[in-house]
Amino acid sequence: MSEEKKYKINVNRPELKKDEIKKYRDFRSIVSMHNDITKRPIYKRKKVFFFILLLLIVAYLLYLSEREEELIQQEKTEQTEK
Amino acid sequence: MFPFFHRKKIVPKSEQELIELSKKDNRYFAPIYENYHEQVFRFIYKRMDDVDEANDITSQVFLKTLMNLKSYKNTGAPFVSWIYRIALNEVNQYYRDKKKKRTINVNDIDIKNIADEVNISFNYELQDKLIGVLNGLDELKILLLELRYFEKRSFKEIAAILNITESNAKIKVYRLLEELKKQLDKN
Repeated sequence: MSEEKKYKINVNRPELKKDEIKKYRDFRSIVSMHNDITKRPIYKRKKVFFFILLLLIVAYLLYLSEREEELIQQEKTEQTEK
Repeated sequence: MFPFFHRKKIVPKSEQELIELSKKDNRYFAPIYENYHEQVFRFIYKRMDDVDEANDITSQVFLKTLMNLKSYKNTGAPFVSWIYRIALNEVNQYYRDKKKKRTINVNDIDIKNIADEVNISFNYELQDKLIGVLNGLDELKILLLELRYFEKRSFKEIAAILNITESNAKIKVYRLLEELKKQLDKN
């Protein structure tokens, strides 16, 4: 009979003990692998996004106020020249 | 070192609550992992030869469970059945990638259980015959035998793991027993 064996069959292999399995338990590595895979780029994180947005708004407002001051200064110098 | 974030204290909650919380923060998954690690490990090791490879696949299974948690919907079946389904896919993927023969682990009691089911008296000749018959069965049939007779799971659980109805699981198992009986009688 030339039957091709599809499976490797072990009979009466000893069971693993509870402690042997327990030493393989490692939740931290699962979490760290999960974090590595699902980590979003820094600018895509909500808090960081709003912080960057706030910084940009403040920078823009500062720019506007400085520009306004410059214009006032310019107007003043033009008036004194006249 | 001063911790940047303070650790959230995990208060014991129901499994369903923990699953919902884990969708947003993977640290809430810890009690589920602790609870099911051993049984999932045994489930995988039962289908493998090497304990370290079983460990690698177990880690992969829990990682995939976390990754796919957002798509999990509670259908009333135990959550662990869903993990077992992921585990079966991972084990199958492992054998496909390695192009190795799938391992089946049986013991005398399992063979005796099957012998009782098909009304044949147990002896060592039967054991050899059954091993010969197992080698001719397809993957699904082997899986059904493992779940029902080697791991002694209920039809309800088998149905949940295989994502079929309970009556369908019963029909498949009974047809398989008939086939086994015919083949064992023939040999």
